[in-house]
Amino acid sequence: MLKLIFSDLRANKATWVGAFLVAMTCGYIGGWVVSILATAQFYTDSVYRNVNQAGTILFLFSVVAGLAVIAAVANLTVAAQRRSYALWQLVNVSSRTVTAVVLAQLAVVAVLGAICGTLLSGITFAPLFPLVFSARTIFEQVVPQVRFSSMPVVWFGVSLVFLSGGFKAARSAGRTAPLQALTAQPLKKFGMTWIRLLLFTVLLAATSWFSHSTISGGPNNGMDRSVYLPILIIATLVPIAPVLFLALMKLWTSIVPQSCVTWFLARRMALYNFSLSTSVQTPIMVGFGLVSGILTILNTMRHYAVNIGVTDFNGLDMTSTILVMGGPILLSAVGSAASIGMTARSRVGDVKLLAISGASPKTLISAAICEAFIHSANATLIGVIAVAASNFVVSKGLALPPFVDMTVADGLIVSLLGFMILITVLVPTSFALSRKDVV
Amino acid sequence: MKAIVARDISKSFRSGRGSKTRVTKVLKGVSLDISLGEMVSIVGPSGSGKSTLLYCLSGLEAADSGSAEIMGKQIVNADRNSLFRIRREHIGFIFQSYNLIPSLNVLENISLPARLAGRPINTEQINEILNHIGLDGRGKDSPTDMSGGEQQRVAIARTLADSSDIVFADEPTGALDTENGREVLKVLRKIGSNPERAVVMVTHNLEAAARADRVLVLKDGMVIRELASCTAAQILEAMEH
Repeated sequence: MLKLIFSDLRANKATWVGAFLVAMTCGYIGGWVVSILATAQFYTDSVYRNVNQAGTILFLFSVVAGLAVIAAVANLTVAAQRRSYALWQLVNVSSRTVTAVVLAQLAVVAVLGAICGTLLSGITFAPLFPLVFSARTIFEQVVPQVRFSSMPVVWFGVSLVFLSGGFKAARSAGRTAPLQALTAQPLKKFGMTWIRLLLFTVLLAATSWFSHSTISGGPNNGMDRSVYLPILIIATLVPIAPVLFLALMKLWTSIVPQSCVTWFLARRMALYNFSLSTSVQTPIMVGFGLVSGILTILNTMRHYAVNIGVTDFNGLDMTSTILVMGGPILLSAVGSAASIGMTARSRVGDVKLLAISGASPKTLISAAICEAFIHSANATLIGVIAVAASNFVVSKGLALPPFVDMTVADGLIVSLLGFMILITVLVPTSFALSRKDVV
Repeated sequence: MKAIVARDISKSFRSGRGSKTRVTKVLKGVSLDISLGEMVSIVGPSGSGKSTLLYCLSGLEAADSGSAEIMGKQIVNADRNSLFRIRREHIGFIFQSYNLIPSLNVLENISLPARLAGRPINTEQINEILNHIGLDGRGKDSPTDMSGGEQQRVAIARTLADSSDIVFADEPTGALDTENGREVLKVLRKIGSNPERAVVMVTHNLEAAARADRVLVLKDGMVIRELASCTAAQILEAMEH
C-alpha cells in the first residue's frame, strides 16, 4: 500500500503539486499565526494584548479563505485523477483500499506542504516582522520569537481540513466504475451535496442572527464587530457555490450572442470546468469579498463617525491591512493558480479535440482568455453581492443610506490578479497548439 | 476528383533519451490514391502503422517525408494555420474513443464544425439526423450521460451534418456491440457511396473492412496488398501471406 501511495504521487506529480502549494501556503500563514502568538507569551499587559490580537486577526481572516481554498483544491486533486483510481480497481484493488490510499495521499501532501510552509515562515518571520508591524509603535520593542515546537498544530490543522475537504471525493474515487478507465469518460461533475446544504443552512442561520443583532443593536453595539460580517456572508456563499455561481454565470454570459464562436466556446468551457470544480472561482470571490467587504464596512463606519462629529477615525493602517488581507489574497492567488495547473492535462485534451474539429489557434487562444475573464468576472459579481449585503446590514444598523459607502476598486485588484493567474490557461492551450502533431 | 493523393509517406518515432534513444520507423514510403465516392479500409496487424497512416493522411500527425494532398492541398510541411483550415474545410473524424467535447451538449457537438467554419447551423437538419440515428429528443443531453454506442452515433451525426469531403474513421466500431457497429458501418457505407465524399477507415474488424470498395493491407509500415470488392476471408488470406 505504501508503494501504491508514493508511486502514484510521483506519477501524478503535476496534479499533486497544486495541492502541495496550497498546503504550503496554509502552513506558511499558520506558521506566522503560531509565531505571533508565541511572541505574545514573552510580554504582558498591553504589549501582550496587541501581539496576541494581531495573531488572532491573522488567523480569523485567513481561516475562511483557507477552508474554502483547501476544500476546493482537495476535491479537484482527487477528481482530476479519478480515471487512475478506476484503473487501480481493474487490477483488483478494492474500493475501500482506493479510498484509504487517496486519503493517505491527501494527508501526506498536506503534512509535507504544511511542514515546508512552517519552515519557510520560521525563516522569514524574524526578518519580515519589523516590516509587517512598522505601522504600530508598540511593536518596536517586540522581539519576534519562532516556536517550532508548536508547528505540529499547524500541520495537524492543515491535514485535517485537507482530509475533510477531500473525503467525499476520495470515497467517490473508490466507487468509480472500473469501466470508466477503459472508456476514457471525462471527469464527473460536482453538484450540491447534503453536507454543503447543511453547512449553508447553519451559516445562513448564523449570518441572519449576526445581521439581526447588528441592526437591532444600533450604532452603539454593532459597530466594533460589524467588520466580521463580510467574512460570515462569504463563508455562507461558499457551500452553495455549485448552484449560485453556476446560475449567475449562465445568466450573464448568455447576454453575449452565442453566434460569436469565441464567446460560445469560452462560455461552454467555463460552465463545464466550473461544474467539475469550484476551485477556479472560489478563491477570487473570497479574496475580492474580504478585501472589498472589510474596506466597505470601514468606509461605512468612517461615514458614521463623521456624521457624529468624530474626526480621528483612522481605519486600517498598513499593519492591519497585511494582517486582515494578506492571508486571503495569498491563498486566493495560490488557489487559483493551483486549480489551473491541476487541470492542465484535461485542458490540453479539450484544446486538441477542438483543434481536430476545426477551431483555429486564434479562436482557441481568444476563447481561453475569454474563459479566464468569465471565471474572474463571475467570482467578482458574487463578491459584489456579498459586499452589498454586508454594507446593507451595517448601514441599516447605523441608520445610513445603503450602498453609498460601497467600495469595489480595491477588491478589483484581487480580481485582476485572479484574471492574470487564470490567463495561465493559455499555457496548456499554447502547449497543445505548439505541437504540429495534434494526436 | 482525387480526395487524397499520397506519395512516399514516411514516419518514425523516437523513444528513450540520450544513448538509449530508439528510432522506430512506422511508415516506410506509403503511396496511395483515394477518389471521391470511394470507401477505403486500411487493415493490418497491430503495430503495422494503420493509425499513424490515417493521422498522417489527415494532417493530425506530421509525416517526416513524402507528400500528401487533401482535395488538391498539400498537407506535408504545411503551416499550422493551413492545416487547421484544411481540416475545417474538408475533413471529418470518427474515433474509437468517440472524442466528443464534454463541455458541449449533443446538438452543440454536432453543429460545432459548421459553427467553427462560420456556416449557418441547420437545426432542422440536425434534428433529422438525430432522428435517423435513433437519438431523437436527445439534443440537449451531455455526451457524458450517454452510452458508448450513443456517443459514437453522435460522432457520426457530426460528420453527417458537416458534409466534410473526407471522413477519417479510426476503429469506429472498436468499442461498440455488434448491432451498434453494424449501424455505424451502414452510415459510413452510405457516406462512401456519395460521389462527393470519401471514407478512409482503419479497422481490425475484417467483416467491417470488407464493406469498403477497396482494402489496403499494411504490414511493417508498407502497403503489401490492395484488394477490391473482397470478403473477410480474402482479407485474412492477404494478411497471412
